Amino acid sequence: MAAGLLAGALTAPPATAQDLSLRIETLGGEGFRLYDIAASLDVSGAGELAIGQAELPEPFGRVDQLELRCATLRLSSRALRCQAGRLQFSVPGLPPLAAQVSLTADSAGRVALRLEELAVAGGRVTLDLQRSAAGELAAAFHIEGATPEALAALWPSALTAGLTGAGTGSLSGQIRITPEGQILANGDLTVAALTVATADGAVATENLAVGLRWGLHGWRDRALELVLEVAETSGLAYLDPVFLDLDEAALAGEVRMLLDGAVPRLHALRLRDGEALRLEAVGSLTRDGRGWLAINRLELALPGGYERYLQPFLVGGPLDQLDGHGRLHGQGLVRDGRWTRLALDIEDLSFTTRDRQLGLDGLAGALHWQQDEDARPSWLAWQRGALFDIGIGPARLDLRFIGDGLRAPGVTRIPILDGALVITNLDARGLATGNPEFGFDARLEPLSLERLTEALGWPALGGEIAGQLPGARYRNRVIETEGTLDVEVFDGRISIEALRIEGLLSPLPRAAADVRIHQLDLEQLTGTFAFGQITGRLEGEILGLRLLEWRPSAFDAWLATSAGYRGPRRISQRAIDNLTAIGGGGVGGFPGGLMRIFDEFGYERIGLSCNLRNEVCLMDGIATANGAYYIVRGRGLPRIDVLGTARRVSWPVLLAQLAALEAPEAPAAP
Amino acid sequence: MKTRWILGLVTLSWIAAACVTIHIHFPAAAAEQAADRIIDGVWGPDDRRRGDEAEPQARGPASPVIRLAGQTLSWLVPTAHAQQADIDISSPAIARLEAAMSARHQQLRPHYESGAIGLAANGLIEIRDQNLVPLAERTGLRRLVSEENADRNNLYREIAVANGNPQWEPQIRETFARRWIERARAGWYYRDAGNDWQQK
Repeated sequence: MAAGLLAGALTAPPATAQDLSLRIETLGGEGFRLYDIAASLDVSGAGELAIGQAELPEPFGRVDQLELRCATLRLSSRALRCQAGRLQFSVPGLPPLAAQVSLTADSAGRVALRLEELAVAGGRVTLDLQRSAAGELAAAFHIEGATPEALAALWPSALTAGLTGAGTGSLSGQIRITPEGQILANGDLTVAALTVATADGAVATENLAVGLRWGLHGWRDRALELVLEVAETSGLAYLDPVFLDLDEAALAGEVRMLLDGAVPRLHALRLRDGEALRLEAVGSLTRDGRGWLAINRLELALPGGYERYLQPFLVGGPLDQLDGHGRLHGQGLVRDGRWTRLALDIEDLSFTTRDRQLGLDGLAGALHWQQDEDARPSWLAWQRGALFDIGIGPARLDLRFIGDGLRAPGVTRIPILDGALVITNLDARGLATGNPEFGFDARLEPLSLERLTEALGWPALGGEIAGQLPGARYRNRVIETEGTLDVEVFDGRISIEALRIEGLLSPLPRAAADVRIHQLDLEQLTGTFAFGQITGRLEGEILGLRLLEWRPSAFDAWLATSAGYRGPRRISQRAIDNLTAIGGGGVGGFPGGLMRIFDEFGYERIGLSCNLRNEVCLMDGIATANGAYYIVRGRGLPRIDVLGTARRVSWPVLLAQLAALEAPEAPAAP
Repeated sequence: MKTRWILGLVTLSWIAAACVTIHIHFPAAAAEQAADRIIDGVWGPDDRRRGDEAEPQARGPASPVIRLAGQTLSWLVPTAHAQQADIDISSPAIARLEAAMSARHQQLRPHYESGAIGLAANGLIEIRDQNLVPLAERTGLRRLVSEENADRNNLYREIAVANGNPQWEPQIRETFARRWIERARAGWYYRDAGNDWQQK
């Protein structure tokens, strides 16, 4: 061996004519060192070579207990040749290894090694290795049938740590190492029928097949870059919480890792799922998430990109199960596992939520967020939309993210039908906590009841609704308001106070409010609801009103004619009948049979109260009489009183009775 | 004679009630019965338990006067069997939540049985081992768990609100948390006091 250094004692034990054996304590050369060498040759040409320990150049490292048995072994001062050999050795951390081998090495430093049937990583390895006289190493290898665990060990990543399961893999490639230490390598890695999982299930596959091209280049003892390019994928994969059916999502991409020093670092990433997702990032990120990663390009297209990559993070919330189309573009910076900068551009996005509670069309915006610093101004706008079938018009919200909150001090006017909701002084905190809090002042500019009732499919009403809701808050999924909404209707006013809405976009929306009714014109009201004609004014309260899915579930209500009304107080026969039906009672003060000949009657007062709990209405009237209660107290002649006797009335039955009064019996008074 | 006695009692009750500052203590036994009724409604009757335990009596809303009279009686006559305040679970919201949870249970049951999900100590449910769930079903299971927990949180609050004592919510949640676990079927998993998973 030209550059070889022969050290220690060369001993020639007593030799017979048939056998030759020799022992060398240490043998070294450029980049390698061998210890405890023993060789023997018999007359047939067969021989044995044993090396106690070998320190070989990278990528081989340390090899122990190496034994080589050759059918033909030639050992001269200039060359070593072994044919039809059998090699056994062990590598620290692995069980003993064995392979078929043929080897030639000469004193010029040329080596040709072929290993076959080397059992490693549950598979079989074939290796062809050539070393030129100039010191260049060239190797070609192929590993067939390796286990997932062994392949995971070859691909050091936080994702593959602790994987167990079944599957097969093959790895092949060529490596060239120049005498100067430059390394060039590439090859293929394929895994098939891979069904593996980590103990916590955060990473798992079912029947996954992946074809990867890999490349390795750089300098020994300096930086090496490993490139993994995904060429083909099929099967199922789960990366908590993202599930990918790779037979549907054609995933392609490239990962670049830097191997300098002990810790491999991710330094570039490209990922593409057809039109649904594009991701490009660069950085310096270790497998435990330390370092940084700059996402230079993130493109997500609805619906595919939303369903696969966004929805899994939104499961159970109001933005789960959206229908939509459009695009999101993002950029961001992650440092030591935390986002420090985020920018999101929204481009002509349209969506509707599950159950079609909320829909927005032509949504666009630019959102900028930065940790510990005031970010650039952000905005969000839409062309049109609908909330519970109520149309909303174009609006734009200008805001600024500050820390984990946002502030929008300006005026945002959201047209609703022919009115508008005007929001000012919007601020938010805890956006990153998953339980954000919002505060805002709201004002409802007059919007016509005719349009509103039409949109909601209710009986058409004339009038308008408007109001001030200063100090509104949203927290724990509850909207709470102070202030009053005023509904100007039937020449009177209905005021809604202490409005509170819980789970607005949830499957079980609930609301609460106190409602006060001031001086409604009964003639218009009864005309609209086909209740029969009553003249006069109505006042009342519905306190502690609770709505479940927008239907009343509890309240304490009383409604009565206004005592201060100076005009005529008349009630029609039909209205008498309806009030009698509600109270389940009878008519007093006038012989029943004769009553029918009159169309209308005078009254002193009409009133009714209902405390609704658990689908039962506890009824009362304006006064009691022998266990019954007055609903109508008559006046003049012919005098008529309506008495209620039913104290507990089924709310659904009462509602059905009221709903039966659909069409007006006559056109409402102009 | 008898009528006068009752009238007298009611009047006495009113007077007694008016004289005493009324602290409404959390009716633990009634809450447990209410929880068991809802658990039966959601999970269906437990085959193993059928027969060895009487079904809890269904309670309609009792008249407040009678209830108050009863309370006052027990205060006046301490040796008498004390009747605690009722827990009313007949509000539409509670019925709606129970129906939704009962329908969802048909989908959750196989996951309780496999051990993929378990009962947490806070009255909610949790995914315990997602390796027991096929990959394609995991998002769906997370949605079911999220919806179930939203309903459970709403249920505990609605029961407290429907009984006029919103501040009872933590005790109602604690009662349910305990009863869900005590009533869990053999083989299901739950978190013990140390927050470790145990199998029934």
